[in-house]
Amino acid sequence: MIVSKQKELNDILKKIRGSVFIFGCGICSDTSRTGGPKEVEAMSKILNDRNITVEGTYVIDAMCHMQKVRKAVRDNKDVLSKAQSVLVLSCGSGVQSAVSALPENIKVVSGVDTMFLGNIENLSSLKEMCSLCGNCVLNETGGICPVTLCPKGLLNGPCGGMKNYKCEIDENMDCAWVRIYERSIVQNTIEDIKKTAKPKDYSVKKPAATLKFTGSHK
Amino acid sequence: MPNKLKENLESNVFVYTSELSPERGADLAKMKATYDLLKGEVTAFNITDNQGANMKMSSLAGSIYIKQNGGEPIFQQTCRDRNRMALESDLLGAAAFGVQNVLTLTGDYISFGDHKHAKAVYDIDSVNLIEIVKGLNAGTDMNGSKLNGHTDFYIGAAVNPESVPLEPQLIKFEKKIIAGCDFFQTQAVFDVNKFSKFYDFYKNFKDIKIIAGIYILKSAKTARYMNKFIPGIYITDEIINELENAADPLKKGIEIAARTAKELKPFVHGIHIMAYGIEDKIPLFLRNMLDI
Repeated sequence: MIVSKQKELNDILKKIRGSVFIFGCGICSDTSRTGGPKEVEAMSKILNDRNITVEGTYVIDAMCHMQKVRKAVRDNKDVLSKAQSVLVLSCGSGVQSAVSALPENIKVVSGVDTMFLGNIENLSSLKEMCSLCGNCVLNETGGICPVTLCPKGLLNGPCGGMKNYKCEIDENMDCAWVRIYERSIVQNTIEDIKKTAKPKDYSVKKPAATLKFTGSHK
Repeated sequence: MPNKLKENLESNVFVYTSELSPERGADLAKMKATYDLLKGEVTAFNITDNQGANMKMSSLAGSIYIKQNGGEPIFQQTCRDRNRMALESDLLGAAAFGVQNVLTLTGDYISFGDHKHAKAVYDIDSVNLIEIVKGLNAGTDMNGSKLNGHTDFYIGAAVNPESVPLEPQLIKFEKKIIAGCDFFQTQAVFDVNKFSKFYDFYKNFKDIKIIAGIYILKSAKTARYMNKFIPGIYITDEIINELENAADPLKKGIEIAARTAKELKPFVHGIHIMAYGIEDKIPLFLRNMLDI
């Protein structure tokens, strides 16, 4: 899931023009507690209390799904036509779904900052374990990602700052390379981590990438 | 062009290295003053690269300056602030001005320094950087394109012999040797017993030169601060107590450093002296160490 964090309220208020329609996202923003039904309702109340008219609200089950967002815009056409601004409480991907589905003259305001791809440890703890780098090294590192879990993204072992099994930037955080080493002992795969990894190939990650399929999925 | 560091190490002459840190500013006078103070005592000077992630004049400029003043610079290059292309081009620039030693480093994380909001780069790591320098020495860039004029770097790297656990550090140490590293400068050593475990491993690599890091501590307070805030430092409680109970902590710090260096000397090829803000005490440290 995509983890997000609500922007400072004043920063949101400064961007809103006239009356507002609020979109939420029922998947990631709901789990992030930034844009599910509960947060959309709370935001609606906050804006009402500041005399900003909320024309309507709608929680889409995935704001990143552009077809669903276009449908939601069609279904809410009449209410949306009264709003001067649309506040989107979802990741940056969802905000841009709204931008492309709405008329060009509608101001779209993002209410959250998009943080990371998160694993749900439990509903109170979201943890970054993959950073979407585009060329995965997990098969070489025993299934533990140094690109994400080492702040320096090192591919060839720990830096000299590791101390007593912990990362130099946070004494509560395990050194990713110590974890990789320990697991390689159990798995008997130490030869894998003794091989020098080449620098990552960033050309695989195209700017503003699009992946297109041919043929039917089903 | 002669390279004092390489010549001495390769002919088993014991070397002393120390550090010169370029200023936060365009003035070279302070670095020059420290250089003038130590040039008779030290074989080569590491020119630090935004040390501790604090923004300073470039190591490239500092290295060229020291070379032009007759010194032997060790051009430090961290992977924190520059991508692979910038590292390669700075290495070529250094070589063009006669800089012949490089120390390849990962670099302390950006949050330790004074530019906490900057993007940390780490496009490549220190092992990859050694491979790149090896390639530049052989006349090609990392993509195999032929260079118009190759480099001739004596390649150094860092290792932390007191690392806990040590094994992952040793794996990386060996990767650096395979990549083509000629010499190592170690993180500051405070516990000779711990160092001996590292020695047991590296004595198998006959051609590798090890320069042990020695840090001159000013006080127990500095030692505690370093243990807490400087990455990879392990100062023992015994040393902290010695400093705490000393009438003259700086004098004691010099004694401890000299004692540690003396104990390490039979096992290494040189001593790297770190004396931040008390570089003027390095001659005294050396006299202590050598019982002069």
